[in-house]
Formats: sequence, structure tokens, C-alpha cells
Amino acid sequence: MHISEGVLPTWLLASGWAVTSLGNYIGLKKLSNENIPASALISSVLFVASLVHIPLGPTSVHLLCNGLAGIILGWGAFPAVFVALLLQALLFQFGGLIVLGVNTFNMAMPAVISYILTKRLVAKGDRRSLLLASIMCSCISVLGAGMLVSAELITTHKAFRAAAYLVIASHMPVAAVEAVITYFCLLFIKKNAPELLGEDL
Amino acid sequence: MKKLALLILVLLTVWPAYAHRINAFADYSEGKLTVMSYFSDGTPVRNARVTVIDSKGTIVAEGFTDADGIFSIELPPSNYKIVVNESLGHKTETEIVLTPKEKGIPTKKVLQKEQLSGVSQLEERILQKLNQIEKTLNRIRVIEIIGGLGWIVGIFGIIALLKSKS
Repeated sequence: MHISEGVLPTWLLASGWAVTSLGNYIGLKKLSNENIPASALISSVLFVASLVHIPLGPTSVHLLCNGLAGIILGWGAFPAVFVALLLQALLFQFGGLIVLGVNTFNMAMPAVISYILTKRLVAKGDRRSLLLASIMCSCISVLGAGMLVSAELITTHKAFRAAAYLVIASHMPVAAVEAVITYFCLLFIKKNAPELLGEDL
Repeated sequence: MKKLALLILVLLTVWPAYAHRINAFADYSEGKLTVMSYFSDGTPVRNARVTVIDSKGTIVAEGFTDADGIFSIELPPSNYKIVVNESLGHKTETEIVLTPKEKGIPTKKVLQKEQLSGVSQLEERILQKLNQIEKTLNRIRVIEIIGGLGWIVGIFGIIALLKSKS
């Protein structure tokens, strides 16, 4: 899911950084002091989740967990994703510093969108709503991120078209696994730290 | 002694390319160029497009890696740049640089037949070991993961500090 250095054209890299900077600004502005530990925790989850590889077909996919980041942090998903990807780029050479803007946007934007779409369901708080919210937010976040990656690859090289479909197809199981993870996380949070949910970030 | 030096020179042409997330290793021996590509966790990169470019910048060969992440082709001895493009936007580059000796006289003619088989067997074994070592080095180590988590705590600690001041 990380796009490597030297694949995308300059205008896309620059716009990636522009949008990510804006997202980080909004995210940090809206981040309350009480939510900073949660952000650090989610950032750690994102950082580690990408290391869980699922061998699938010709490519190797990994968990994203950006849906979980969105549902808990809202706009705060931007700085959390940014920090996780920055460290992955520096420590493991996943992606790279120049494409960090695009890569952050790809993961964080669908997370924020899924947050906006599911926050009412999460606020309701009964089990059925939480389950529905988990499924919605995992599908939107994971497949949304896949679609953004695909769209960016297609604008660069027409030859990536087949690969683009593959990205989306190979992330269906990831979305399914993450829906389950998100549901159990939400149940746990609802029980132990309900103040994390439903707060208007 | 000379043969050993030659062998070391041959081994030096196995140039590791530390790039992003996928890694590629190239090796040239006996008229054959072999490219191996792995993800950072050690799984082979299958069906990735491999482009071989000569020193003048022209593409001399193109192909795809097999199920073991390997692509090999017979080429005249020269310096080559190898670009591996995985279908999902991962890309890496590696280079093969041959010594003048390797370019000029093929090793086959210099060495006797029985000596040659001994050397190539040894070479094979050393290459295998070298590949193993490179794979281990490229694997993500637990210590780096823990270090990364420490960084995250630190970065958000700084954010908390700055926020509480303003």
C-alpha cells in the first residue's frame, strides 16, 4: 500500500504534501489534550499493523487499521497516520519521505470520511450500531485507500490499470478482517473508556 | 591466491540494493544475469517487471520474475542497471559492475575444466550464504519496532507539551 519513491510525478507528490499538511493542521488544532494519549496509541497500532503481512496472490498485503484511527480520532487520524508512516519510512524504508504526503493522504483521508459518515452510529452506542459502524468504516477506509492508490497509479502509467484492480480486489479480505478487529475494539472502548467515543473532534 | 582474488571480485559484483520495501539483488556469472527480488519480510516478489538497461541507457532486456522472485537472462558481459517494478507501485534499482578482467577474458578460458567446477561450486555455496545473510539483514528486526514505538510516545509527548503551553 505504500507507494515507493520515484513512481509518482512531481505535481502529485507536491499536492500530496499540501493536502497532508492541511490535514495535519486541522487534526492538531482539533486534538484535545485528553486525546493525545489515544492518538499516540492509535499511531502505534498503525505503525505495527503494517508489519502484519498477509500473503495473498502475487502481492503481499498488510493490515491498515486506518478505519479504527478514523472512528476514534476523527481528523486526528491525520497526525497519527503521519507519525506512523514517517517512522516506517525512516526505520524500514517503507514508502519514503518525498511520497510521505501522498501516502499519509491515502490512508488518513478515507479514515476521516468514514469518521464523518459513522459518527452518528457510534454515538448511538448499541451493539448493532457499533457493528454496522465497524463494517462501514473498515470498508470505506481500506477500500478508499486502495482506490486512491489505484487512481494515483493509473494517472501515472496506463500500464498500472490491471494492478489497480488488483489493489482493490486484494484488499477485500483486509477490509473484512479489519471490520472484526474494529468491532471488538469499539466494544472494548465502549465498556472501558466510553469518553473516547462520540466526542466531537 | 589469484583465483581467490578473482573469486572475491566476482562476489563483489553481487551488489545489494537497499531501496524501499522491496529489495533486488543482481548477480552476473558465466554469461548469465540473475536478478532476485524480495519484500522486506523475505517473501519473493512474484511477477514483477524487470528492466535491464546497459551503460548507454538503452533497454537490453525486459521480463517478469517467477514464483521465487527470480529473473535470469543470458547477456554479454557489461555493466548493467536493473530496475524492478512490482505491480503495486513498489520499485527498486540495482546495478551490476563487472571488472575489466571479467569483461575482457571469460573466466572459462583461463581456468582448467576441473578447477572451474571447483570454483563454481564454491562460488555457488558462497552466493547462497550471502543471499541468506542479505535476507536476514533486510528482515525487520524486533528491536526497530520497539524503537519506533518509543519514538511515537516521544513525538506525542512533545505535542502534548506544546499544546499545554499554548
